[in-house]
Amino acid sequence: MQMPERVLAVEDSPVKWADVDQVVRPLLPAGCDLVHVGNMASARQHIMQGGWDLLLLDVSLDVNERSGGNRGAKEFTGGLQLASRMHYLDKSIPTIVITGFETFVAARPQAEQDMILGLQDVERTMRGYLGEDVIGMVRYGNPGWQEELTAMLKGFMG
Amino acid sequence: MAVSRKNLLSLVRDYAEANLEETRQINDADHAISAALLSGSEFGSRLERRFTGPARQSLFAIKHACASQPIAADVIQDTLLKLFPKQSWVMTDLSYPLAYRFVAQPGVEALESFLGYLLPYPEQSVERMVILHILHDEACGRSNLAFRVYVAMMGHPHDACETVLDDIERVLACGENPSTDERDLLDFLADECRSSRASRIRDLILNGITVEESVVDSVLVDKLDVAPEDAVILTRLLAGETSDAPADDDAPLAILLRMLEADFPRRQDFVRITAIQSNWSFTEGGRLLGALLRSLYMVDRAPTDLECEAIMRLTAVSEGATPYMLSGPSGIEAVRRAERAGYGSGGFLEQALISTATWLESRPIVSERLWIHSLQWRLRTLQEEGRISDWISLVHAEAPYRPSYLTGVDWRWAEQVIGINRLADFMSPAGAYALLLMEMEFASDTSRFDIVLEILLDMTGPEDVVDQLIESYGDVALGVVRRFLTPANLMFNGLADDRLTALEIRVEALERCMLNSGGAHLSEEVYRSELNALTAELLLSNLNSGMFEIPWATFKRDSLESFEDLHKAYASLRPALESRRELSETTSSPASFPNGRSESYRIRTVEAPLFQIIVGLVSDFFEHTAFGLEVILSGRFRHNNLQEELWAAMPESPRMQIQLVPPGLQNAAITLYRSPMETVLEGWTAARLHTVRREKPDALFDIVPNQDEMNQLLDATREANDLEGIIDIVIEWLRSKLRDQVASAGEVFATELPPRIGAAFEEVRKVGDFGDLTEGERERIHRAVCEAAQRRIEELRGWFDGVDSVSVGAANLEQLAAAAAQRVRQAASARDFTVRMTDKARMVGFTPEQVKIAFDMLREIFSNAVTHGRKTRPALSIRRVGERQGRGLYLFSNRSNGRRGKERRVRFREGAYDSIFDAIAKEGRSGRPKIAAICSTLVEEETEIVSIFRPGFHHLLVELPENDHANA
Repeated sequence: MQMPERVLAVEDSPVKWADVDQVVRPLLPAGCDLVHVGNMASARQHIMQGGWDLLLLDVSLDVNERSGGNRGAKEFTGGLQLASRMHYLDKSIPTIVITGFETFVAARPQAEQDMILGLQDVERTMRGYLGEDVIGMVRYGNPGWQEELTAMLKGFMG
Repeated sequence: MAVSRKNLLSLVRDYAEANLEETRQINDADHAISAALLSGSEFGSRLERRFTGPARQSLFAIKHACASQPIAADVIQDTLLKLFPKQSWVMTDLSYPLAYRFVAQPGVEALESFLGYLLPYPEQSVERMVILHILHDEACGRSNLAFRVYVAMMGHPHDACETVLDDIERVLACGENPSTDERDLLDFLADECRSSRASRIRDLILNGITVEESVVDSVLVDKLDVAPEDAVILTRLLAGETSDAPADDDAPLAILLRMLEADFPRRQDFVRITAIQSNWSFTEGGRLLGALLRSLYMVDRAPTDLECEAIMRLTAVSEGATPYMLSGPSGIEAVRRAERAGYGSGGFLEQALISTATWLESRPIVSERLWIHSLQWRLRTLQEEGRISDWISLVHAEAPYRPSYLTGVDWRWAEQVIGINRLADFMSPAGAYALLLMEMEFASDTSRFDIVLEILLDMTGPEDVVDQLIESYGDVALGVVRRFLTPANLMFNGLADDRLTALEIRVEALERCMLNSGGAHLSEEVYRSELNALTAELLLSNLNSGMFEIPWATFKRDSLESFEDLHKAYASLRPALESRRELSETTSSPASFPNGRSESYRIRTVEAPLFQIIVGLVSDFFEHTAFGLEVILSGRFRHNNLQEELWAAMPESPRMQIQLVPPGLQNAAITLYRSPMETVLEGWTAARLHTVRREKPDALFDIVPNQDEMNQLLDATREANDLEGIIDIVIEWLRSKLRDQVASAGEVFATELPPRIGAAFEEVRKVGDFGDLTEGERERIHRAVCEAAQRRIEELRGWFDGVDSVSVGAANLEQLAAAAAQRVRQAASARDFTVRMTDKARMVGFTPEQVKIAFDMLREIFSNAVTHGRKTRPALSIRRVGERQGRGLYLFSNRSNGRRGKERRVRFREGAYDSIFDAIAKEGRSGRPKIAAICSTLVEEETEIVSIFRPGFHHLLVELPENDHANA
C-alpha cells in the first residue's frame, strides 16, 4: 500500500493536462500535493529536488518555459531525457508514462542526425533507465486511456 | 552436450576422411595463397588460383573468386554461374549478398542489417543466419556449433573443417582446455588433411606459450613459406620494431610497417589494408593480417574473446608472445586465459607483466604507433587496480581528441564501471572528456556527457559557458562546444529561448573557440555546415514558409552516399543481369516500409538489386532524419505544433484587447475555447496527417508504390546510366507524388478544419461558463476568437505550399531584420525594441552565402541602437535614400541621447573579408569598422559607411546590394 503524499506531473499540453488531472486528482489521497510542471527544464529542477512519491511523465515536451510554440523548441523524447537523468543521478521515483504520440524523433549528437523511435522503443528505453520504477505507459487519446490510467494508479496505491 | 559435441566433431572428421584429397587440395591452396598475401611486391598475381573438381563449389573457392575481383560483381556473378545452376539457391539468394560482401566490405553488423533488409520476414531468419555465417568470419559466435556444422555439411568438407577450427580457436581464446576429441581432430586435420591452421593450433597447445623479446625470421619462413625478406618484415610487425618502410609500397606488409612507424597512420593506408584484410579474411594470411591490424589498435576494440583470439593467432605464428603483442588489445588477458587453459608456461603471467613493462619503458616513443601501446598499458594497469579516477585522468591527459582516429581505450570496461557506479566517477571535466571520446568510439548512451556538463558548468550565460570549456579543455574545447552546445542543450539549460537564438549562440561559440585555438579541429566544410544550419533557420524563420519544402539536392547527396555500395554491386552485376533479363522468372519480392506497411511485388529475380535500391530510396525518404515524410508529419505537425500555432493567434490580453470587454475577464473567457480547439486539431491531425496504413485509412499521404508504379520505376531506372540517374528518377517520382498530395492536404486542411472548429466554438458559446460577462461581451469574444482562428488557418495554409525548396534561395532585408531584432530584444533585454522600414528598403536581397554576415551586420547596428540610443521604447527605421553605381544607399536611423552640438560625420572604410575564416579572425573588430567590412563584403568591393550624429538622432549610411527578387 503506497499512498503518495507528493506527486509530480510533467506535461506541456494544457489540454492534455486538464484531462489527466481530471482522472488523477480524485484518486489521490486527501492532502496529497499534486505539482504540475510544463517543460523539461522545470521538470529537471523539480526531479532533482527530490521527495516525490510518484511521477506522471509525458514523453514529448517543451524544452523550457519560454520556448513553447517556437520552431524546434520541443524535444520529442524529452521524457526519455529526464528518465536518463533520473537513472544516472540516482533519483528513483515510481513513474507512469503518459504520451499522446506514436512516433518520436530522437537526437543522436555524435551521428549529427536524428532517429525515429516508435512507442515500443520509447517504452523499452524508459524501462532501461527506470527499471521497475516504471509502473506503466498510457497512450493518451486511445479508447479507454482513462480507465487504464486509473487502474495503474489504483494498482500502485494498492 | 559433451556427447553431442563429440558426435559433431566425428561427423566432420568422417566427412573429411571420406574426401581426403579434396580437403588437402584446398588446404594446400590456402597455404600458397596466404604466402602470396604476405609476400612483398607483386603479391596480387600470386593470389590467382584455379580450382578443379568438387573444390570449385567450395565456399573457399567461391570466396576466392570474389576476393580476386572485389570491384567487379559481374565477374563474381559469372564465376558463380559456371559453378551453379541458374535457378540454384546460390544464384538466386546468395549471389547478391556475396557481391555486396566483397564489393562493399561491410562489418558483421552492417552485413546483418543488409540481410535484414533483403530477407525481412521472420520466417527467413534461418536463411539470414546461414548467409551471415557463410559470408562473415566474425559471425561465428552468433550461432551454435550444431547449426554451423549442419550448414557446413551441405558444402565442401574443407568448409566443414574450417567451421570446427573456428570453434576450437574460440574455445582456446575463452581460456578453456580443448577436449581429447578436439585434440584428436586437430591431429587428424594437421597430419592427414595438411591444414597448417590446425597444425599451428596444435603446436600452441602442445608447446605452450612463452614470452619472447623478438621473433626468429627462419621460423616464419618455415611456417608461412614466405621469402626471407618478407619474414624479416613480419618479425618486426610481430615484435613492434620499427624500421624505414617504403612510402609508396602497396603490399600488405609494407602498409602495416608504415602504420607501425606513424603515430597516426595515413588514411589511404588504412583503407587499403582493411579492404585487403576483409576480402581475404577466409585465408590463413587474411586472419594473420587481421590480428596484426588489431595489435596496432587500428580497428575498433572488440569483445575480449575476439581480441584474445587475435593474440593467439599471432603467438601461434611467432612461437612466443612478444611484449608488443602483450601490450596490444587484451594481451595480458590472453596470457591469463592461456594459463587457465594450461598451455601457458609456469609463471607466465608474471614474466609477461615484467617483460612488457620493461620493454615499453625502454622504447623511445616519439612519433611511433607505440604511444598507444604505452598509454593502453598504463590504462590497463589502472583498470586492474580499480583506480577509476586515475584512469579517467589519464584518458583526459593522453588520449587525443582526433575524431578520425581510435584511441584504443577499453570502453567496455568503462561501460561496466558506469553500470555499477553510474556517473559518480565521471563528475569532472576529465570525466566529461572521457565520455565524449566514449560516445565517439563506442555505442553508448549520449545523455551521459550532457548530464555531467549540465552539473559541472555554471550556466549563467553562453559566453561564460564557453570560457569555462576553453579553460577546462584548451584546444579541444572546440570539439566539446560543437558536441555540447546544440540548440536543444542551449535551450534546455536556459542559455537560449528559441532555436534561432540557439543556433546563433552556437556559431558564436564555435567562432570563439576557433579564435582561441587558431582554427584547429574545425574544417571549413564543417564550419560551413554550421553556418548553413543557421542560415536555413534564418530563412525559415518566416512562419508561413512551407512545411513540406524539401531540399531535394540534399536528399540526393545523402542518397548518393547511402547507396554507393549497393549500387557498386549492382552496377558491376548489371551486364550479366541485362543479358539474362528476358529469361528470368518473376518472383514475389517483399518490401517493408518504415511506416509499418509491407507490400509484396512481382519482380524479375534479376531485378532484385535495382528493386532494393528503389525500395531503399523510398524508405529513406520516409525516415530521412531532417526532412523525411514521417519526420515532417511527426515533428512539424503532430507534436502539438498546429495547436500551439493556432492558439498563439488567439486575442489574448495584453497583446490584444477586445474592445468593450473588461481586460481582467478577457483571457479567462478565451481559455474556454482552448480545450475544444485542441481536441478538434488533435483528432484531425491523428486521422489525416499520417501516411496511409491499415490503422490510418484516412491519412492524406501515401508514397508506397503500387505494383504498376513499381513496374514503371523499374523500367525507368533500368535505363539510368549511374546511381545519380536512378536517384533522379525516384526523386522525381516522389516529388510528383508528394506535390499532388500536399496540395490536396492543404485543400483538406482549409476546408475541413474551419467548420469543425466553428462547431466546437459554437458549443463553447452555448454552454461555456463565462462568469460575469454580458451577452454582448461574450458575443464580441466569440467573434474575435472565431475570426482569429479562421485567419490563422488561412495563414497556415502556406504550410502546404509546395514541396520544392523555394525559401532557401535568398533572404530579404525585412526577413533578416525581423530575426536580428528578435535576437537583440532577448540579448539586450530590450523587449520593446522595434524596427520599421519603408517598402523600398525591401529591395535589399542577400544570397544564402551572405545571409549570416548580413545578419551579423544588422545585429551590430541594432545593438548599437539599443545600447547608445534612447532607452525608452527604442526604435530604428530603415529607408532607401538613393543609389550609387547600381547599389542602394540606405539610412538606419534611431533617436539618440545627444541633444546638443552640431552635426558630425565619421567615415569608416574597411576591406571585404577574404574568406569565411577571415571574418572570424577579424572578429575583434567590432562596431562600425565591422559593419564597414561586412558592407564591403556584401557589395563585393571596398566601400565606406558614414556615421552621422545630429541632435537627438543617429544615422548610419550604408551601401547594400539590391536585387529584383528580394521581395519575392
